[in-house]
Amino acid sequence: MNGFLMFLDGLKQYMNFWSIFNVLWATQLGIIVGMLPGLTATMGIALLTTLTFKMPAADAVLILICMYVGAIYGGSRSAILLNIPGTPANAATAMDGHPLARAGFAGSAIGIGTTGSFLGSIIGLIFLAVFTPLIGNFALNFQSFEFFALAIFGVVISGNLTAPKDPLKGWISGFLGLFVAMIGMEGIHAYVRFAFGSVDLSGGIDLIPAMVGVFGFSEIISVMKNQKLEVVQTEINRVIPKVKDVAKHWKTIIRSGVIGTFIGAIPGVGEDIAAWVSYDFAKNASKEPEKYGKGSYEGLISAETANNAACGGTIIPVLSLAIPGSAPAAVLLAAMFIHNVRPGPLIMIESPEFVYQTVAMVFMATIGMYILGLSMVKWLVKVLTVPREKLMPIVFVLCVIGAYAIHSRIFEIGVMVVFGLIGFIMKEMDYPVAPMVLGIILGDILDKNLRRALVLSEGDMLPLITRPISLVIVLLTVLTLVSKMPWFRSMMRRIKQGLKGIVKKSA
Amino acid sequence: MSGEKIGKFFRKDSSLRMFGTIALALFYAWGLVGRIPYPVSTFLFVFLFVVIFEYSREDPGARKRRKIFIAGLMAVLVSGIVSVVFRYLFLVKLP
Repeated sequence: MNGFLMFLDGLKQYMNFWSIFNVLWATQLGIIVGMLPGLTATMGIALLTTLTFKMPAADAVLILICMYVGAIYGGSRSAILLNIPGTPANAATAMDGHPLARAGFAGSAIGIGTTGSFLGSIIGLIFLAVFTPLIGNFALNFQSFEFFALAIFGVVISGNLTAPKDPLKGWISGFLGLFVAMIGMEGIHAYVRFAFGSVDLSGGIDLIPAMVGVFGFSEIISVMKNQKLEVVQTEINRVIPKVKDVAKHWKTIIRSGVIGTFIGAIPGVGEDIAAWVSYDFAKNASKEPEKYGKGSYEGLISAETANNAACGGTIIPVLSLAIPGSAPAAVLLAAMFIHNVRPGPLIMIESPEFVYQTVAMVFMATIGMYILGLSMVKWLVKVLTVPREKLMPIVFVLCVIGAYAIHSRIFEIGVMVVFGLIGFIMKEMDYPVAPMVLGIILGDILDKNLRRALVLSEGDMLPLITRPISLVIVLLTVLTLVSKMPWFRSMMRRIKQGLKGIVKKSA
Repeated sequence: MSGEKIGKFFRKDSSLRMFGTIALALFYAWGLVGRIPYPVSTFLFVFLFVVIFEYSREDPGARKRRKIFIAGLMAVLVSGIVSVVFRYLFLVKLP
């Protein structure tokens, strides 16, 4: 009840002209950023962070959350009309959204997708409001060993889930991020590491320029390299969906909302995996699985509900543990630090009202997204026809000035360019970049907590497996690692067959 | 990989666009920004980018001139707006 009152208080704070104006423009910009292939939610938030860093924290974080929710939704537009997901989170949306558009149902596909995103976002924010305080209070039991173990777990699970075909590539990417985080002055004794005498490097690699490079510059190169995109020539019919058309998918909506939120809350996994997992679950549970991939409204709504539900989910660990659930949430976390908001286990003691203020921000963004998503549809389709040759130089100019603006250092532009090239090469070689970004963020947490823990235990590593919470996290990490190994899989298969045999015999 | 395959890779349209983008970006980020005034460097980058990627020899003369004019107009607008917004609205000392 107290939480609900704090949520209402947070909402009241944003019920003024400027806040509503900010919600509208930031969400609309988010939708446009999400729509345009090559511009991702992460890049949008990173660039807006540089534009909002002089604003008060409450306004800046509101704008960034609107960009986040808007962009994750906006990607569905190009997924439906171009068969190219605007952001990776909308890849599953294209599976059914595009066949529907080709069949002449672009308007209803956009309407159903928008409603799915809206309902998913609402489910996500309910979980955000309920679980953040619970996890935050539980996390108060976490000490240095637990945070160290959690950082390792975050990198490993992120690697596992973002590179399901070859998790080794995901782990390599994650550990590359951890190594990058070790560059520069360490946080306890200010000893400079891996700077090779460079004054610039001794300050470390800043997250925002690195992310602008990985998600901005690398995307520009990819977009310019690929073939031109063709927009489906189709009449956009009625966009606002009928209540019964949405209501008949209520089971899928609730299931996808819960799956999306849950997967979003796992460190470094993100909205794209949430959408795919939800899509698979919906297909397995469907009465018409044969329609999936050929234009199923159920498939479309399952993907769109999950990716927007994941937005709320990714913010849960951001607020309660200061560990991001996805790449856009990682920039959001960095932006919160820039604005002197300190998320983490102490947030429920120091500023519990901020948690509910964030819930109010997600609520405002969700409402903004739904209203804007269902209006100006025909007009916005024109944005998709802007040629990449004209759009990409503008994006690169923003990447350069965005990387420079926070610290006013030319060095940051170099960081952005180098990480853009690294990100592009990694993507070309099928290495996921999300674990690397998570590694850059978690590297500092991992390093500080391991060393603090070793000081407290006088160099003894045993508490890592003798403290119960830490032991559970270590076991989960080991299980995550071995679960992908062939010998473990064949052992599990043999155990399964053995169990089946026992059951048959006893029957 | 044989020399022929490497040659083929470098002649591919997608490879040319990729290397062209990287070269222009590096020229702007490392060669221009910080060495000449920011609005001028941004104007040059946007203008060159649009002209290089949109220019086609097969286009008739009037179309070529139109493309160059649009590229110039776009470069003036982008460099002007970005410079003014960051300098006076966000109070960033431009590189």
